[in-house]
Parts: sequence; C-alpha cells; structure tokens
Amino acid sequence: MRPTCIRNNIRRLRFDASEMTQQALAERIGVTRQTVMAIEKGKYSPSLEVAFRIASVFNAPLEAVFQYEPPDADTSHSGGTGGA
Amino acid sequence: MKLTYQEKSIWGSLVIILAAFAYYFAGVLGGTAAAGAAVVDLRRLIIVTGIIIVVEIVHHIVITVQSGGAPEDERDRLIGTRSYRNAYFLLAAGLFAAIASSVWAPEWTAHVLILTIVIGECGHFVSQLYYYRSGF
Repeated sequence: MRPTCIRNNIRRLRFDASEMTQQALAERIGVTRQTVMAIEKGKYSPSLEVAFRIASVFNAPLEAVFQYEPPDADTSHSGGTGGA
Repeated sequence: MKLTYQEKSIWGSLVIILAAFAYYFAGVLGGTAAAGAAVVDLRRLIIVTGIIIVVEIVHHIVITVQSGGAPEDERDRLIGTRSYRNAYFLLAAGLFAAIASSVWAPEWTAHVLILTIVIGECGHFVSQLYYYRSGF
C-alpha cells in the first residue's frame, strides 16, 4: 500500500506524554490500536475529526501533530539534485 | 502472526463460506453426474445457508470471548467499503458469465449465479485481509 503524504509526530508526542501507549491513545480517541499504529507509520490518513482528537489529547495544535508533505517534495528530496 | 479481532472474524468467515460451498458444490456435481444434467439442490442450499448462519454466530461468540471484541472504527469501515468495491467487479464479471451461461448452457445459470455470490463474498474477505495486512 502506498504511504500517505501526511507525516506525523505522534510517536514522539506519546513519548513526551509519559510514554503513553498506543492502546491508551486509541481508547482516548475512540479507534482501535491497529488504527493508531497505521496512522503512526503513515499508512493511513485519519479523518479530520480523529486528527483533531489526537491533537486535543496532546494539547497541541493540529500542525504540531500532522504535517502535509506533497509528493513532489519527496521526489525533490530523494532525487538528490538539490537546488541552486 | 498475531491476528486482530477483525482479522480473526474475516478469516473465520472466509473458511466457513469456502467449506460450506465446497460441500454444496460437491453435492451438486455428484448429483449432476448421477442425473446426467445440471441440477440445483435447493434442499442442500438451504441447509448450507443455515449452517453458515449458525457457525458464524458461534465463531463470533468464541472470538469475542477470547479477544474481548473490538467495535469498528473509521479505518475498518473504509477498508470494508474498499473491499466491497473490489467484490463488485467480481460480481459484475460473474453476472456476465451468468448471462453467457443463460445463452449457451441455461441449466448451469443458477450454479453460476450461486458461484458468483460465493466468489464475490470471498473477494470481499480477501481484500479486507490484504488491506489489514498491507496497511491502510
């Protein structure tokens, strides 16, 4: 399955939040642990509602949790051609 | 390989439907060979459907007691929807096969339709397992 263009810091935020487990986060946002795992790995983009719930759990703004990386940005990085 | 509640549910349903319809089609083919023409064994079909319902209920009770169950979330629903879309293509192909059968071998049309439903349902389950394993 193609990874999504959404990057996230959930793993680090969980670590900072007294090493919160995936299960604990899943219970607080109302999804399964497998869904949290898929979101963390960037294999699944959550709905806006779940994204806001995650941000609310960590008391952080949405953009501190999720970042959008367009596919073109990936290409330019991996291509290694660099800029001027 | 540790399976989630949803995966256990799907694997069970897949095995149950395959076993039940293998039994059904084995009987139909046996009956067809004996009669010399394709026959629809309605009695066997009703028995198989009943068995599927009962075994599915027991299977889900067992896995719920074992794993505590897990309510569907948005990802489960999305995987289900995508999997139904894949199954739709199998159903559409089966429908065309049934139309062709009604022209060239009308006595097999009912069997082709039953087989189409089985293949469609199996396609739905296999798609779900693929999405759960590959990440979605």
